[in-house]
Amino acid sequence: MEEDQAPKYVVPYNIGLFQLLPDHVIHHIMSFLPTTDAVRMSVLSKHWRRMWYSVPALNFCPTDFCFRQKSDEEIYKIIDKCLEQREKGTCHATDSVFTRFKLDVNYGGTGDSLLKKWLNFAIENNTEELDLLPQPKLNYYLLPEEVFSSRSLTLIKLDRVKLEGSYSVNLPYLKTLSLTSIEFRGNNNRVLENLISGCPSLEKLMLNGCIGLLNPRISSSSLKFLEIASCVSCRTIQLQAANLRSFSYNSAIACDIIHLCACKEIRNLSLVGVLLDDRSLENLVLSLPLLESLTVHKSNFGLKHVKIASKSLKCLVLKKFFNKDVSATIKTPNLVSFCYEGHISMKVGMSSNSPNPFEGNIKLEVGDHLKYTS
Amino acid sequence: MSSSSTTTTTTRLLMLKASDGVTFEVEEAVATKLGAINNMVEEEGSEDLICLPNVNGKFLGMVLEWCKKHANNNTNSDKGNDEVNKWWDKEFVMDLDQNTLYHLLMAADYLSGTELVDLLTEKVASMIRGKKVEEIRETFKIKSDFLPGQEEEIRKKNSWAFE
Repeated sequence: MEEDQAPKYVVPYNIGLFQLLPDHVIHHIMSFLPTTDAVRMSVLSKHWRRMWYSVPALNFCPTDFCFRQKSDEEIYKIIDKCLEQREKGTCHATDSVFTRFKLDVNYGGTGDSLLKKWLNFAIENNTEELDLLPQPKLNYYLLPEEVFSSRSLTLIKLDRVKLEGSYSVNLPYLKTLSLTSIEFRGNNNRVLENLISGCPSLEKLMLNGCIGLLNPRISSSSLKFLEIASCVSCRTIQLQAANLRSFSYNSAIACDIIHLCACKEIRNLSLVGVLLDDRSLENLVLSLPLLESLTVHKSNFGLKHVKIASKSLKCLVLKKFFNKDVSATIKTPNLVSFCYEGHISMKVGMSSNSPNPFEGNIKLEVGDHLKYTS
Repeated sequence: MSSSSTTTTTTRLLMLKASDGVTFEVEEAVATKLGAINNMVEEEGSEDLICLPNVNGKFLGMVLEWCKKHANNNTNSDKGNDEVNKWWDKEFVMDLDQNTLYHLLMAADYLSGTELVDLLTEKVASMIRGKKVEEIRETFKIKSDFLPGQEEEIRKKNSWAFE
């Protein structure tokens, strides 16, 4: 029936359909391209000549076609010319908006003034997203203060840069901050605190591989999502985030203490590599009245008898409990999913005397000698 | 057809009518993956039949197929499902010819299917990335309409991009 009614779409062979796409769709397509590719498209035809002036995202990466077999110095020159051209061209394009700036370049210790110029260009043009990866050959690039004062930025992703504690930070609309392998200059905890205190709308914070972060204190009333991964130097973490919903900590080297009790809104909690003993785990769960999902993995160093009691918990994952003779008592009337993975003999006691019967799945993997008592 | 059951937990069904009269009966949760339909449902509330005069049945069907896949998997979104969706998306765009790609993109844009627009525009971008100008012209059947010397002039002005 469908076949009969569908009109035949005849495509004139000599007309490129893509020229018929509305400009905003073409800009969208070009925003996925390296900016230098978008520039080259300006010689396709008159229609394409000024198209790249309105592409909302600028992307530069050493693997771009245009940068192949070029020295870092040449690449810097090309980027600089490209941005100059774009600045000039913006005057012609009425619909020019600048939303995303991604800069992935090698950083050999020179080129600071160019990098600063480009970052200023992006900030002055009200970019909403900034994604910066200056891959250091030796020293990390020290980010200029200007970046931290913007009313347009909503997302900042930084990878391998150096940050200072003395920045004056004013990012009223920043929602997402991702820091990977950051070098903190001076008192690292204060650098982070200072940064967060200037972001009153921050909802998502990711810290990855930030070595040198010893006792971070994260205090934010807007924060909803926090992920700390591979920050191996962390000893204690203090969180004061009344609206935090999801927290995940993952490290190969165990962190001593995580203070979470001020975060009553947490629903999802994942702890991988945290020093926990029976009481701290039990109290942690008791202190989080809305907890729905809990994962404890490689965090059992002091655990002997795990007690988990929670009315809200729906999903529980316990993995890799190295200690022998660990047993668990789980009182979670609303649990729907329980997963245990380990190679020691473990005794699990479960009680579920509630109106919501425990159904769902119990996945028992590798648990050779697991005894299940209900 | 009656809308009396909409208050219960049973999923409401919407009728979508394409430009060529072909109709599709889809669950509300599936159709509202499309921003335009979501708006209509919120505005008009009780209306179960939605006419889409700018989309042909063939392409509306494909758009809805995508919506169905992504609405179902949204219910329990874990990483495993993300992977499955990515594979499915990859297959979905893999062998699309330009004609279909164009019409799907127009339909997705018209219906404000943001994620689908992203998927399709990224697909088009992958056909351009790293290509020479001549190759792009050939792929997309673009004819140069510059006056003699004009193209040279632009190339010269942006010579850094062509070296």
